[in-house]
Amino acid sequence: MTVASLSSSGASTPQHSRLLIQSPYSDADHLLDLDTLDRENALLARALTVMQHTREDYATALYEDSFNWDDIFAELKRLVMEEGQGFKQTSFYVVAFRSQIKAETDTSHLGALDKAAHAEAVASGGFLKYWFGRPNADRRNLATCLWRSREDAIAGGRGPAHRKAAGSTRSLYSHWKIDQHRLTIGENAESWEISQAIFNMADALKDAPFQAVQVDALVAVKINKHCSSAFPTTATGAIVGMDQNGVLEITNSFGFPSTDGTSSDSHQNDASAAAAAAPRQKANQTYQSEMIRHLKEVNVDANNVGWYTSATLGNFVNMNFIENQVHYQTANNATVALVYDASKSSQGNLALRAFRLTASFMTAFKEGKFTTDILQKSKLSYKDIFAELPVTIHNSHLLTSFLHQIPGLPSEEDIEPPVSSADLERDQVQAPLHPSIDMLDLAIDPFLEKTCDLLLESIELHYTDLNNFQFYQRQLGREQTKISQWQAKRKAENAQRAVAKQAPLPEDEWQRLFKLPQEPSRLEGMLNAKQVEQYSKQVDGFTAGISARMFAVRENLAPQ
Amino acid sequence: MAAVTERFMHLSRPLGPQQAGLQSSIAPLGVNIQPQAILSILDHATRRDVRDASQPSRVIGALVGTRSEDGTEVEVRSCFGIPHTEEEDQVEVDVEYQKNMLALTLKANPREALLGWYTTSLELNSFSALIQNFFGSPDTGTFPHPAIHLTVSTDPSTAIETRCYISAPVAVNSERAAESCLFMQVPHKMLYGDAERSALGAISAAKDNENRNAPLVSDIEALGASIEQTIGLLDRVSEWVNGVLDEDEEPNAALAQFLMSTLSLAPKVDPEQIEHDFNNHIQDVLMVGYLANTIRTQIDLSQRLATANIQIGEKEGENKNEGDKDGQRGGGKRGGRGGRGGGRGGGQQREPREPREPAE
Repeated sequence: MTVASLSSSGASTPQHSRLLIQSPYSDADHLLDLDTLDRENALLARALTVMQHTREDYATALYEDSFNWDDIFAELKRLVMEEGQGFKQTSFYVVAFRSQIKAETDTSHLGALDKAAHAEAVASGGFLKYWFGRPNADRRNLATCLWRSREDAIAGGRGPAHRKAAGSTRSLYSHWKIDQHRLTIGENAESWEISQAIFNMADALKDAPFQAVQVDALVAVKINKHCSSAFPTTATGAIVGMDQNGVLEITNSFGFPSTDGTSSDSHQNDASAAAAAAPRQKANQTYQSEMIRHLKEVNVDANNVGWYTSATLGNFVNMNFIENQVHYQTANNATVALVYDASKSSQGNLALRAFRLTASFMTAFKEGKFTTDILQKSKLSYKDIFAELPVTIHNSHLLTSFLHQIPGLPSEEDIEPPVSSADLERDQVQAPLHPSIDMLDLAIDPFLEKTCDLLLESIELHYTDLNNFQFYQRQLGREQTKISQWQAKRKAENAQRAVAKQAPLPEDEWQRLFKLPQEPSRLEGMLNAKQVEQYSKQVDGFTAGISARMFAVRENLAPQ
Repeated sequence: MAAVTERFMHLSRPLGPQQAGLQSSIAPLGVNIQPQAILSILDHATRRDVRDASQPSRVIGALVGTRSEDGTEVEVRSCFGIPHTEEEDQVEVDVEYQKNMLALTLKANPREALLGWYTTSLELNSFSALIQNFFGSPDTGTFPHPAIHLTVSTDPSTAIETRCYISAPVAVNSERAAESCLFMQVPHKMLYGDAERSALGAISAAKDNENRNAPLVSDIEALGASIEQTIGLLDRVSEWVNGVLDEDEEPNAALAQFLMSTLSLAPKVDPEQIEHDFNNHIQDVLMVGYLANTIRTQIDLSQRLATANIQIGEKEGENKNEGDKDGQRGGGKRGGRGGRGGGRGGGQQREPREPREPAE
């Protein structure tokens, strides 16, 4: 109990003052108000006042090794003891900003930017500690922030001052890197751990109101049923739910009315096209709001969070998809598109994916211009069109108890031996739903073939797109030649007129005389590229699966 | 199956109230329930109003689905909840709501029809009879077909049990006919097709997790799980067989017979033939994979060149044009010989993408 004896020495922190200096800045609006935090966070914030770097090469060293964590946690333990109310296991969000400043950057300007952003972040709440070092000889530096949670960090970065600071990053630093860590402190501050937090899609989704999608079992089954019964026609519908703590919970869904109930095979394409466009139609929007109004009465989350569509082997990247999602995302940013792949799911593994358009694409789409110039400036590539979100399935307690009643794995205990083969015939063992034995099916060639067909179609599209563009280039070239000819002619004329002491003719009349062709939109091409990427990844997946299965079969049939 | 019903004698269907000229069928009735209907009911049960303690813990709703042509088989495809209140001596069902919701549901699925209703307790009481008569009546219900009543027990401490009924009118006098009826149990089962297996599989994956969540896994992970499970089962069987051989286990003729007939299904093929087929096929598969990736690279390159800021030569427009042509030549060759186009395209200078904005 050496910890207890330490308690008298802890005079470094003001015990009962509300405001805490949590950064190198000590002005009033840079202080952390401890009353805004819960006990664990307040305790850690107080303990962090002893934070110091332990080595000089912190700018490049491992994060865990760079600070006096042992002292911090000794201090934390002491504070916990002193308060005597224990410490619940909590995790915190840590950002480490490693940078290399450009030689010519004016650091005083940088300091002002940083200070403004810091005041703003403190005001937004949950900001526990800010620390930064000095640039070393190599002009490398480390700055680190500890936050209550990732959400707080995101909220803290929304203000104008932070934007301004982040915006000038590119011009001030020659190189930078942002590491995210998770600091977890165990019960009673007995243990602690700093782990590399994995926020895979953090980059593309940094502005998204949620980072993951949680689908209720009911929704998975409903979408599955709707889409597979409509197959091969496209089926679309709306989903409802709510977003909470960075996770979008989807709790119910309903299909949109199919346009015609008697779709014969010859009209299949029409029906598909109509269904694909359904989410944007006026009639369906009325249907959707009507349905949601009714669902609200039976306590379903009455909050539209997007839509779903069916696809065949990943062929969903097209204008319809984009337009639908733009439609939803404009109305409500917290929306998502679920894509159910009917063909892929028939192989035994549920293929349900969630997508949303990135903010940069949304801005570009609103402006409606996808010319080469704009794409160059905005650095928007086909890879940034949409971001995929991880999907998890969630069951209610009731459903879990129900699922335990349907066949699972054969029981581990001894089973009553059957009396006759008729017994076996009668009580056949039901295959468990998970893990599914459908996965072991070898007949994958049709899927591979179909994907290849789709891939060829995409290439065809790509070719058309390029032809269009080339046509435009030729026309543009022709017009430009004409213009320069005209300009040369006019110049010569003017030179003559100058000699003859006459007023020169205007030289910009060509703008009226000639019309430059419009550049075709590059959006189609981008979508197509995304689609091809989609297909080839899918082929990779198929190849991996089938080769594993084939080797298994070979070993089985022809043992070495 | 989940909905294994207890064995009971299933008699012919009772006669409904006879209308002039309408002869309803008396054939027995079978009810098939699709999983999404059950899930919907369970979901509704968890969303019941708990704020008002005077309200019953059960909820009710309508069943929607299809009937076979002769009306002897019905399939419950979906359902929707209906708000209702129960008091000492009266029950109120939001009839207007039921009508609107039914219209909305049928709009999306024109081939379906109202089949009956469900409730989330096994109990049958006089309110049940009242509601049953409402759902079976000619104006608002399923007449001339019988209304189906599905009860699902949602008591947290017991297993979930489902029962299915139809009813016959019974009353001591005509005044009381509206609030009484004779419920007769009919057999029902939960049916799922191949298409639903994948979704049910994904859901079942979460059943043993404490947080009731399961991430959707990639195909290859799922394959791994399946293979592991199969190997486990095979090991178990061979262990048993070895046990029998070592005289540790009781031999069983029926099981042995079953195993023999299963093993005899394995095809007898020439090892060389297998080797040959295997090599052919795996090469095809790998080739397709390779080509698909080549195409992706080509298209990627073409996209990059289309927007690249190339600063050789004088006019930007012309350079761009050239870049495009290159990309197109590569892509146009269907990947097969596309490698060359890519090489040439790669020769052009292209600007490396700048790092993205920092995340925070």
